[in-house]
Amino acid sequence: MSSQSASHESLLKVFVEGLEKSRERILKSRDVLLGPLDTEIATTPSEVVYQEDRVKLKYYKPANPENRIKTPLLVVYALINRETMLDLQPGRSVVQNLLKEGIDLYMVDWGYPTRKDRFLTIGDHVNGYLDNIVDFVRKRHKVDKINIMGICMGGTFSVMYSALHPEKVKNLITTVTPSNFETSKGLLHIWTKDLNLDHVVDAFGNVPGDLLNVGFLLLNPARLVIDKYMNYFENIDNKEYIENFIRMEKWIFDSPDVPGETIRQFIDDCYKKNLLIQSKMELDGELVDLKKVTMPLLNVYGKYDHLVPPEACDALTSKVGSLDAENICLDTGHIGIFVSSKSQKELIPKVIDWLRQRDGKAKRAKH
Amino acid sequence: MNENRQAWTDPFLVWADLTKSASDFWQSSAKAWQETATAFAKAAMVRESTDNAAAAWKDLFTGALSPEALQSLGNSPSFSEVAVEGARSLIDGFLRFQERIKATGNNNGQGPDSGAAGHQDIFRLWMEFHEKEIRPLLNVPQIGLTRFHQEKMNQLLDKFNLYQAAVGEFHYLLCRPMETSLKEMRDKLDQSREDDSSKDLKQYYALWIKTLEGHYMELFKSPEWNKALARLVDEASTFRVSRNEIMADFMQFFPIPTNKEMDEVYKELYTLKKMVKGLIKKASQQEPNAR
Repeated sequence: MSSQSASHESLLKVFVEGLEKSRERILKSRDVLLGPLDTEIATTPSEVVYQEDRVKLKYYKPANPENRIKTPLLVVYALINRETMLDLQPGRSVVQNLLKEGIDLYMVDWGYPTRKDRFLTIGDHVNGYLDNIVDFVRKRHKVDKINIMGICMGGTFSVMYSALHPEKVKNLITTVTPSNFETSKGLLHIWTKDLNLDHVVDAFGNVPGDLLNVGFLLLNPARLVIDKYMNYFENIDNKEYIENFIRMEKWIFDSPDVPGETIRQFIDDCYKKNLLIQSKMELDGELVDLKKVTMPLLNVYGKYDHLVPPEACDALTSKVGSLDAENICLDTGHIGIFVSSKSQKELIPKVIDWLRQRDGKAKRAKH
Repeated sequence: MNENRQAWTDPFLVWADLTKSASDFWQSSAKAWQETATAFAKAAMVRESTDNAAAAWKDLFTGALSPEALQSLGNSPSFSEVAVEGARSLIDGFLRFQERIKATGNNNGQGPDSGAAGHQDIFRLWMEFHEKEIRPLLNVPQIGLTRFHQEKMNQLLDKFNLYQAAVGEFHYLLCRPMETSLKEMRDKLDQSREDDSSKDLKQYYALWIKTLEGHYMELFKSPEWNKALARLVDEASTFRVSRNEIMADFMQFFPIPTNKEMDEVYKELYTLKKMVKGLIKKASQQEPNAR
């Protein structure tokens, strides 16, 4: 017998053994998959209190009104994927944990852009929708300033907003937020250098969410296309695992298209020219000067974040005008920072403590 | 039943039926005859015009083949010569392309990495062949009523070829880590059989996925991947733009607005909305001051 056929036989043998072991599991999976599954996401009750075009503002009432933080918090999510990630499942929901701590929580829902939104720029999102939302919340709570927490690209927008409208922002929290795009650590930073997004925008109008998803899957096909689904089949008899898995699938493939001009500008000005961190970026003809970010800044990022590596986040605190700027690096990844229960136990208390310490305090700025 | 029987027994009704059937028959026969006659007449007309055309062609060729005409044409290349020359150049180009592929294939066995590099050369060679031999043919100026459409169709073919080449290269690169990792796993399996240290399926799988991940990470950081990805995105987009243009031309026959037309409306809408929102904001900021 040749060595090759022997190895095939040996492989076949272990394969058959594996099949035998999983036979019972496969039988049990029928009960799990055909039975009732709780896979709803974003179940925390909210109220849409403001709407402009496709953009909605959701309000969540605090669960602990006695121990309330006076200043309301506005969460600004990215245009890629949806804000439902912060409320994936009861018991492991960032939204619920913030409400428990007495926060008046507002969240921007960017909606699903259609072809008519293709000409919207970053300026339209930051100086338009976001500014109107901030004004609405300020008016509703009769306050001059509000707290803002930006996530990923939403964090980058929040930094731009805080630089252009510092008089309206009391405290700024940036989570997994890219601000320094000149790094070779993350694959996205490497790939976008050679990408010509002009043709994509010309061809599609908006950049399709599914196209972006293909790109994200390509970041690690071995894990995201093969191993992830192997684990799914491995745990197919585990109801709780399957419910969580489906929740995550629902969120990850719920990908709105991104307005063409916005993503073109984001890739060109940020990823290719790295203008933001150099305070050279312009929105609607106005310079985004990071020295004008004078409010307290908490910058949180993940040590194992492959999409937005620490190198893309940590420079921000040294470039802003605020004297009260702090970096926090957690032992987690880009999504894990919000969905893993371990990270939530670290992230939420830090955010709450930080906000409580500054609720009502005056700012300190570099001169 | 009774009514039917009465109908068959009533001579007036039977006669009326018969006359109606006869009249229907003759009417349809007359119509058919008329149609046939028209068809014959048309055929005759067609034959007449074909005969005329044939006669004209015959005159033309007779004239063209006259010694005087042949002498005058003697110094200039005929259409067939041009066509043959063009085809020869294309075939030569293709043969050269084939030869180079063959040479690449022969080099494959020379080193451990020559296979991958050689395979990727095929895509480069194909692009060169396309750019030198096929693209000029597709860029030949078109003439006549449909020239614009034909030109766009040729451009679409050009973009499609480039897109296909980009897909091929991308697909090849994407499959390479899979192929390499499986080969490595086969070697490891052989090794474990020799050492008598076979693992269970899960361990083999974990080992393979780790190896595969490593190869992908290596590939994704390489300049060749970056170039292939950028090329794919570029070619796919330009092909789509080209296809959209043809679709838009086709859509003009239907009462449906094209994306281009809608984009013009959206652009105007966007500009107007931005202007109005700006004015409202300005007005609302001035209001408290006025009070």
